[in-house]
Amino acid sequence: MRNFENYLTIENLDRAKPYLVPYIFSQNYFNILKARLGNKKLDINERYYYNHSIKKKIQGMMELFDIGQEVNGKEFIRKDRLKKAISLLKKYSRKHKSMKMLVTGSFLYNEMYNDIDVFIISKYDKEDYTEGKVHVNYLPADIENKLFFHSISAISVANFKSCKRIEEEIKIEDLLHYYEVVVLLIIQQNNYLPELRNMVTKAEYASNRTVLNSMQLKTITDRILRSRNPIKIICKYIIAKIISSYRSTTVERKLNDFIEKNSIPEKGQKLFENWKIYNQTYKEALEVVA
Amino acid sequence: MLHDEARKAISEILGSQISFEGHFDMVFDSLKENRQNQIIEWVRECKEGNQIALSSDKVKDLLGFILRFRDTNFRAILTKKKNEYFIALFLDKHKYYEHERNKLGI
Repeated sequence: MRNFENYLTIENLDRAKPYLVPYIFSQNYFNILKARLGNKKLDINERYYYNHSIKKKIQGMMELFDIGQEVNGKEFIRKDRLKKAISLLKKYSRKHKSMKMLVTGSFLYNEMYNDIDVFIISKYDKEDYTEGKVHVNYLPADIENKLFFHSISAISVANFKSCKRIEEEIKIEDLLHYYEVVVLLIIQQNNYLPELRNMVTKAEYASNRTVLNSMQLKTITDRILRSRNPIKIICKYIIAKIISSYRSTTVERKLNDFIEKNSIPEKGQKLFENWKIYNQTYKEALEVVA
Repeated sequence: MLHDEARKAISEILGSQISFEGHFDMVFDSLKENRQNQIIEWVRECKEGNQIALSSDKVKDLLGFILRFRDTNFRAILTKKKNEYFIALFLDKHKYYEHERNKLGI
């Protein structure tokens, strides 16, 4: 049986109240369901009503209307993959009972894919694991308010409906940290894709409140990865984003702080190569702001 | 190589004040031998000034060297007080590394 609580929210319940009370639930049953969704403790009688009547009615309605999956970004999902994703969701829902989970990533929309990402929301810190091509990743309980979750779930097949808003403030220093680490990894000839993804996701959200789905994100990051001079592109990109995202006083203050921290080498050493690049970028941004 | 041996070798390179953070022992033991050697060699290069670093905007004069492996999602961060001593070697999975970088301001 699907876990119906994953599909219900207090907001939806309140909105549907005129259609529920007294036709499906009495006022008392309605209050018990609302308390349960709000994670409030139920007394012994309330628990009995909940398990023997309220729960059964909702499960009956879900079966009646065949509510099982929440498909986001359906227009981007390949038909054959949708079927497979639903089947995977059912398989892992049986394995991880009552847990919120979603299937996402390039598996849903790309002909070629390396792995299949299944994300499970858990209150506990568990170890990710891999089963064949399926990579099961655990996310913390508060993830639904995060930009990352909104980005990965924009094209996804889930066993729950999320109505939570993003409650994440992207500070200018967050973007600059990602920018600095991406450039460092490129110079070191390391794989920098995960950091680049984070940088672009946060920069796009900070500049125009756009939440990129994984397909859009892949398009941007692929262009950067394939370019002849990714550092140059990333420097121009970050200048444009910070200027359009923050007040000029904030930009000036933070960039001057960052230039200062990257200006003095260790004794007897030359200035690191990456610090020169950062400072050049920050100075260009300051010129534009000025 | 076991983690005790690695701790000893790294302490010899960086000094006995170095601390080991993250799930260092567990991660180190799970790495292939060439990756274990890569960490030791990287530590040596950091000590000799042959690696580039990030500087923190949260902690004054804190430098952070980053090592990323090609075939695993493990990351290492080696911190140093500028012009002075090495502080800690953090070794852990990507998700903990993100948190650590945020904490350090790098």
